[in-house]
Amino acid sequence: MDIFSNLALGFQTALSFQPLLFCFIGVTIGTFVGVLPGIGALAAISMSLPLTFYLDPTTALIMLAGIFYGSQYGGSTASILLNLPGTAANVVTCLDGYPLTRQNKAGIALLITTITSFIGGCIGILLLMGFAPLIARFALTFTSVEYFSIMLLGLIAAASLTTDSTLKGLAMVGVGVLAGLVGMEITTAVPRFTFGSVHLMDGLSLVAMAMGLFGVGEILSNMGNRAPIKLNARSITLRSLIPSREEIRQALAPTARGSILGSFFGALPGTGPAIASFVAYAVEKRVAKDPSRFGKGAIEGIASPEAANNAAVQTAFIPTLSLGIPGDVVMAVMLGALMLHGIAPGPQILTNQPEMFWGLIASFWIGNVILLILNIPLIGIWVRIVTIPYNILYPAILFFICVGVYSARNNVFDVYLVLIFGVIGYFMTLFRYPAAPLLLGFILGPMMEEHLRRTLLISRGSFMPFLERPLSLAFLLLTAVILGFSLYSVLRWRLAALRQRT
Amino acid sequence: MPHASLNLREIGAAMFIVALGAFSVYEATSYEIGTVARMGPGFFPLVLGLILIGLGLLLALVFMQAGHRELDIPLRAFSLIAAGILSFALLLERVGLVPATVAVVVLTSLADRTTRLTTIALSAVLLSIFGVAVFIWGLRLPLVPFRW
Repeated sequence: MDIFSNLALGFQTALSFQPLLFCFIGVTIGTFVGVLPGIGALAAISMSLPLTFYLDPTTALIMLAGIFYGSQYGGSTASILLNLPGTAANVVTCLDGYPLTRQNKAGIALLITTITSFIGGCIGILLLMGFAPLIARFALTFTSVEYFSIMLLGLIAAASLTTDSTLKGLAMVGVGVLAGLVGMEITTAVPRFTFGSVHLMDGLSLVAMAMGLFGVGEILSNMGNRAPIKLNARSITLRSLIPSREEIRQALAPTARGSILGSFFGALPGTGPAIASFVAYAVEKRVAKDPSRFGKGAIEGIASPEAANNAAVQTAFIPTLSLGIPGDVVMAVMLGALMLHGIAPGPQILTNQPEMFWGLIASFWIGNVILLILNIPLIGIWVRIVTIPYNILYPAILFFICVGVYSARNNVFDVYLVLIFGVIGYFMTLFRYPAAPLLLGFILGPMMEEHLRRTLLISRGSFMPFLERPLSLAFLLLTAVILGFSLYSVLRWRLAALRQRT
Repeated sequence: MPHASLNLREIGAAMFIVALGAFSVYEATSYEIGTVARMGPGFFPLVLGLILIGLGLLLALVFMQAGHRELDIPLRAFSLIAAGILSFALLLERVGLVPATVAVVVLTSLADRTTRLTTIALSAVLLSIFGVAVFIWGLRLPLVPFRW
């Protein structure tokens, strides 16, 4: 069987000293960073980029990936204990996790989330192993037509599924694409939107934008709170970590549902662990026999989202590795790391560098096991870390953001950018404009322009190829369905509101 | 039901989007636009700009009656954080990592009035040491601790 020989190759690669060591380092950093609110996988990955220059590409990827999925394990800790999500994907975990802490069941919550995270991760990896080679084979037949359509699908999905307002999401996608146009245009080498500044020739820094909008922006938003977030000094007793049989039973089905949902949303470009966890929570609430238990410590409310986000984190690699299309900001940075090592991402990776792909997958298995072992006994330590008061934490976070952003391109200008985007991010939060679609637009926009241009050049100005090629048509139809659905829900809501007034 | 008051802030935000779109259209005209079959560098920005203008106007229409929320921007905190980040940028290459670290840690810590000065000093020292150890010695970033 092909898969077994591939896996054997993978484990051979992943179990040698250096990859194993850096896998361990990666997942540990990831958990640590995930536990700390305000700094996430993205910051840690950006700061570790320079380190990867000294490593071979496979090891580099293994470490960066470890940080990524490790952060999903750690993120739930802060959510449960402090009601402070460690990463965006853990926001939902706060809803039922924190009440469990208040009921002195923190230990149980932490154990359950660790295990469901592991199960979710495993299912995600299984799907990754199965689907990525399949999709890659497909993707070798992809032309600019299909790439454009799938990217459009990703952007529209991000704009409508992630946000309260599809319209605002779409506007943010547009702004993001516009930001992506800054810099030298690829085919004609014409500098666009640079205003003569040498710093802008390479375009805006993705890391600066991401850390500004999310990191600095969030800190600025927290400044507004008169009462800074403080840990209730009441001791967090982890007296019993073992859940009751009833609780285990309650967690089983949600874990399965969450894993599948998470795998789906992780693989879709444009959506990632955060949306996966939101949807998983919503689904659990919908199928629960007694939805009123949610928000008060329902086990389903933490089991499903945590399985979902860990599954999503693994399947996010599917489009990234098989198509070369990042579904998520973190994936984009990882692709950047690949390119720095001279490897062109795309379906050829599976055929030209199978030991990298399968080595990476083997490292996911290893990493998830390490995390399972790390997280259970070390819960006490993570708890201690989480109790650092926010007013000491955020200056450190800002410091790391500054260094991280600088180190991505060795450019002080990017630090100025981080501040600018921080302020923009603050106002965006205030006005409820979502940031994730902006970043995705920024990443995918320029690529879409290229594919569009290429298609139209070959078709001599005709748009028919987008509809004639079956995959492209499928993607575009799916896009239309998602848009239509959002419009429909908005209309229904508005009609209901109108009816209420009259 | 009385006519709801206009939400000027939402309209303002939407107008900002329109402005961005208009800006894109304006800049696009200074690059070669080309035709649909042979898109020049200005084509995409032009179309994008038009789409943004449309979206912005739609947003203004949809949200102009949305509910209000109090706008309370903590200016002192913001200025200190901004000063901290700016100082880091200015000092990093000119004076070195350690002064830059101290600047950003001290200034941004002051944004929160409850932090004690001794804590700030301790943070600054610890983070400077950490920074030099991890970023300069460990990760070999092209930075200097001090540049006299």
